[in-house]
Amino acid sequence: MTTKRVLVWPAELPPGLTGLYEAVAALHDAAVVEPLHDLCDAAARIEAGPGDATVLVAVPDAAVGAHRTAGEVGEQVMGLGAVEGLASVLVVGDGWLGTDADDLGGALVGSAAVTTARSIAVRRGGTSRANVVAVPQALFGVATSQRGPLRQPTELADIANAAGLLLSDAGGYLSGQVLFVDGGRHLFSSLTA
Amino acid sequence: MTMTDTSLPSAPTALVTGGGQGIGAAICRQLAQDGLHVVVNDLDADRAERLASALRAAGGDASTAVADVSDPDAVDRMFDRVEEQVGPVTVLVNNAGIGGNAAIRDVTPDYWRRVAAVDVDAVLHCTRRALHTMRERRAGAVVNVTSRAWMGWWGQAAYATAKAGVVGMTRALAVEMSSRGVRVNAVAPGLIDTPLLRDRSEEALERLLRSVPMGRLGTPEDVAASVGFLASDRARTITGQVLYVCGGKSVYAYPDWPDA
Repeated sequence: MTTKRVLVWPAELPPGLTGLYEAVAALHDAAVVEPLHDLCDAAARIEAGPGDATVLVAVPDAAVGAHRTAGEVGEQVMGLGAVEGLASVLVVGDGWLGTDADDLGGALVGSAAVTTARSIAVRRGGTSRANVVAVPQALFGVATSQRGPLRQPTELADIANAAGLLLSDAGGYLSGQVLFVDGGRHLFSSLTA
Repeated sequence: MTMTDTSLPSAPTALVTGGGQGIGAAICRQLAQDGLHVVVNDLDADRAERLASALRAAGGDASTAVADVSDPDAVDRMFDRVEEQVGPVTVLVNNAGIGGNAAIRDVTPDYWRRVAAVDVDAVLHCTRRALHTMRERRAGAVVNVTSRAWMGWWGQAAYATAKAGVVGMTRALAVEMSSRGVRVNAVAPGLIDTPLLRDRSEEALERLLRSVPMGRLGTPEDVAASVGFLASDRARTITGQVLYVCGGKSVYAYPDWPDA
């Protein structure tokens, strides 16, 4: 029996999202969470084995500021479009909807992630799937309200469940989509209609 | 409000309109598998009963409710009966719909009204009645089945208008019901492998497939899996979402321009 691996990037997550990778891996029956040093390593690491690495979870916003600029992170995310045979989920804050004008870096990276997922869906539709989970920007430590009309705050398990659907066979016909795990905040933005 | 009865029904109850066949039947199978009591609504009593029997034989819990969901009085009677005999409807799936391909010159006022009656009016009737109970109980989930076609496609003026109405209703009710803890979401299928689609010529089907980035048709089970997710507590912080189950067609559909 082959080992199931979930590739993840970046290794370090903000406090609001710590434990996300393990939660997604558990839903995916994966034994190993494998952090990537760079997102552009994904193709090489899939080949390198051992076992079965067909899914990738990336949280690009989390990499901004730590060691990299928004531009560098955006470039890495867009590089994902070159990887074949992968189901990926990009978890981003919702700043790109216009919810928080003070965190332009996060908003830019969110836009890059959405564009990348959509581009993979169309250009690599025969071999790869890519989707986005958008969550309240507050989970990235940005000082802003995370309230949506539904009152219920977004928790780690909710994000993992959404990523779980998008990565699993149950989500096998989903590609290029943005799933908002946000209590309905996105409803007030024309970018989501 | 009385607090005499706090007991929960043995299983939450889902009502699926147009559940007897196609995508609706797959949704019924998914929800039964997820442990819900499934009420199969259909116009055809035999069709509904055949599916409900099959669901029970597979270890699920199911019953039937025959009603024309485009008739608001029939919808009220159906809900009264289900609530009395089974329990409150905690999950409503508005799946019933009629499709069809009609160039604008063939979209007569009669055709327009027939499409609207099933594809959008029925969603209003069922949702309005279901929300009446859900808002009192401060719990519940509605999942509407709209279509990627609402974005626009050849021969879809009436259908797209009705399905766009469902998108609007989904979003408006998601906002309106949010303070009551009731969630309203939608799935928007693209090209799904159903008998209706298989009726088309091989050549027409191939042309349609070229518009799908994933290069294949979806299955009713693909749609049902997303409905099951949105209906469940796994989606407890998701509302107002329109989830396209379309193999990427909503992102960009490569059109094979036909002559007008």
